[in-house]
Amino acid sequence: MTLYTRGYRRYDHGFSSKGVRFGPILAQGYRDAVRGKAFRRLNAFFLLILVVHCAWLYLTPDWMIKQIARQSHGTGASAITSALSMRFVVTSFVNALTGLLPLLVVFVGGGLVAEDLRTRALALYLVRPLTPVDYWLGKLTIPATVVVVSFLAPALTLVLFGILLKPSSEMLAFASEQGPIVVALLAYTAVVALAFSSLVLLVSTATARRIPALILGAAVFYGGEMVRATVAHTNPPGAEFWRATSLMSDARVVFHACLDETILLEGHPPSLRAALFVLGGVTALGAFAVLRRARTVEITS
Amino acid sequence: MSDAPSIVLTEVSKWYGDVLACNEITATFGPGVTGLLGPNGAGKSSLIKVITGMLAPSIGEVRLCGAPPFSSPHVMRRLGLVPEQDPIYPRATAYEVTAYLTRLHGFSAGAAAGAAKDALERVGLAGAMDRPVQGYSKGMRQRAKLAQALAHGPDVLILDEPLNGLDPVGRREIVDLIKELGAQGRCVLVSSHVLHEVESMTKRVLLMDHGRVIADGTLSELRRDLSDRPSTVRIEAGAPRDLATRLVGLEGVRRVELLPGGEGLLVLTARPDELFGEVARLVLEERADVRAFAPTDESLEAVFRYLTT
Repeated sequence: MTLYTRGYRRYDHGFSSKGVRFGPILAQGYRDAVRGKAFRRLNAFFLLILVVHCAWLYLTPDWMIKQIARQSHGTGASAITSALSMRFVVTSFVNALTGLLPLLVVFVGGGLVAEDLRTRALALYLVRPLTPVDYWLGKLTIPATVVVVSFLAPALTLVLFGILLKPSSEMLAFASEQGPIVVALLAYTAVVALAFSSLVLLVSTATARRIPALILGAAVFYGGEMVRATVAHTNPPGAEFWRATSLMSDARVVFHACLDETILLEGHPPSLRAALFVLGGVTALGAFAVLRRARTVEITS
Repeated sequence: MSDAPSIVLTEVSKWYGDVLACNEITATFGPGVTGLLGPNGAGKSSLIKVITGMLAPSIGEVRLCGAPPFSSPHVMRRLGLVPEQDPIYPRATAYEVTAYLTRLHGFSAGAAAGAAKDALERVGLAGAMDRPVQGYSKGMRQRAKLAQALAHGPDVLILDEPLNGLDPVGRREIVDLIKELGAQGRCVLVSSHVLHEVESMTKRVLLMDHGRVIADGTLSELRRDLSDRPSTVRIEAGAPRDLATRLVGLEGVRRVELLPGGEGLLVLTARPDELFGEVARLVLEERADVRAFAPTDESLEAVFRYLTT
C-alpha cells in the first residue's frame, strides 16, 4: 500500500517571517571562526603577502616600469607606467591569494552546517523564529565576511598604499585612475565570497561531518583546477564547461574581465560566459542544499 | 495566533517512508503540566518534532498557539524546547550557548546576556556557566539545555526526557521547577519513558504505544475508565484473617491474600467502591481494627501495564 492510498498529502503551507534575522548567526560564527588557529595562521600568511606586495610597490625598480611600459606598446608616460605597475602588483596579489582563499573558506565554512547536523543543533535553529533563508544567509555570510576581511581589506590597503606613494600633486589624479582595479577587486571578492562559500556549504551539508567536508571541499577546489589544466590544451566535448570547472580560475577570469584584459593561463582559458555559469550554478546549488536541509530534521523524505 | 498557550493536534499522523511513527493522534494541551508517556519507540519523539515544527505532519493538523508550527517561524517565539540529545555546542560555555540561542529569538545582545544569566541561575548553573559545556556532567548538560529553553520566557515548553542523567537532588529541583512553570499557566509537555518521574510532576498524562494514543486524561480518570479491570487494594488491619472471611464473600472480590507478617490483606476486586464501602462500614459499625486501606495500582505503572497488555 503506498502512502498516497493511505491518505498522504504534502504539507504545503508556505513559510512566513517578518524580516531576516541572520545577524546573530553571522556574529557568533565569525567569532568562532577567528578563534581558530588555522584562520590565524592563514591570515598571518595573507598579511605577509600584503607586506611583500607593498614593498614591491615601494621598491619597483625603473627597469621593471620600463619593461611594463614596453609590454603596453611603449607609451612610456609616467602615469601609465605607474598605473600599470599598480595593476601588475595588484594582479600578482590576487594571483598569490587565489590559491589560498579556498583553504581559508574551507577551514572556516567546512563545519558550519556539518557540525549542526552532527550534533543535532539544527533542531535548536528550527525551534527559533528563523526561516531557512535566515539560516542560509547566516551561514553563508560567515565565510563571506572572512573573505572580505582577509582578502578585500588587504587588497584595498595595497591600492591605497600605492596611491599614498605618489607625490601629493599627483595623488588625486592617480587615485581616480584606480577605479577599474577597485571594481575588479570588488567583483572578485563578491564571486569568491558567494561561490566559494556556497560550494563549501554544499559540501558541509552533504557530508554532515567537518573533517570529510574539509577534505572534500579542498578536493573539489584543487581537483577542479587539475581538470581545467588537463583540458586547457585539448578540445574534448563540452570543453567550454570543463575549462570552467576550476572556481579559482573562474574568479580570476571575472577579475581580468573587469580590467578589460584576458587572463594569462596556459592553453585555452575558461570563457567568461562559462565561468559565470559555473560560479552561478555552484552558488545556486549551495543555496538549494542548505535551504532544503534547514526546513526540517527529516532526512528520509 | 491565539493568546492562550496551547497545542492542538487533530488526527495527526507521521510516516517515515513506510514506518508509521504517529497514528491519527488527536489531543489538546493547555496551561499546566502534561506527561507524554510511552516506552521507547512509542512515537513520543516524533510527536514532539511534529509539535515543534521540526517535521511536517504527513496528514492532520497541528496548531501551536493557534498557528501551524512547521510554516510559522514567528510562533517559535512562544516555544521552548529541551531536546533529548545533547545538541549544545560542546566547546562553548553554557552562558555563550544560552545567550546565542536567546539572541536568535530577536533579543539584543545585552538583553540576551541578561536573560541567559537569569535562566542559568534558575536552573542552578550560575556557578559553572563560564565553563565549556564539554566538561559538564550529564546532569549539568540537562540543566544547560533547560536554561536555553527557558531564557526567552516561552509560554509553551516541550521537555524531552528532562530528568535524564540528573542526581536525586537535581531531579527534585527540576521537578519543582517544572511544576512551578505549570502553575504559572504555561503549557508544559514533559516526555518520559520513566513513569514515576512524570507521576511526580503531574496527574495529567497522554499515554502512547506503537504510535497511537492509548489513554489521555488524569490518572484517576484513567483508572475509572479501567473499572472493569480488577483493582488491588491493600488493607492494613489488626486481625487480617477475620477481616478476610468478611470480605471474601463480597461481590466483585476475586482474591484475598494475607500480607507477610500478618500486617493485613491484599484484595483483588472488580468493584473497589463496594469494597471501600464495606471496609468503612466494618470500621464504623463493628469496630474492625483497620489502620489504613488504599488501592495499590493507581500508579502510572499499573495503568500503563493494564493498557498495553
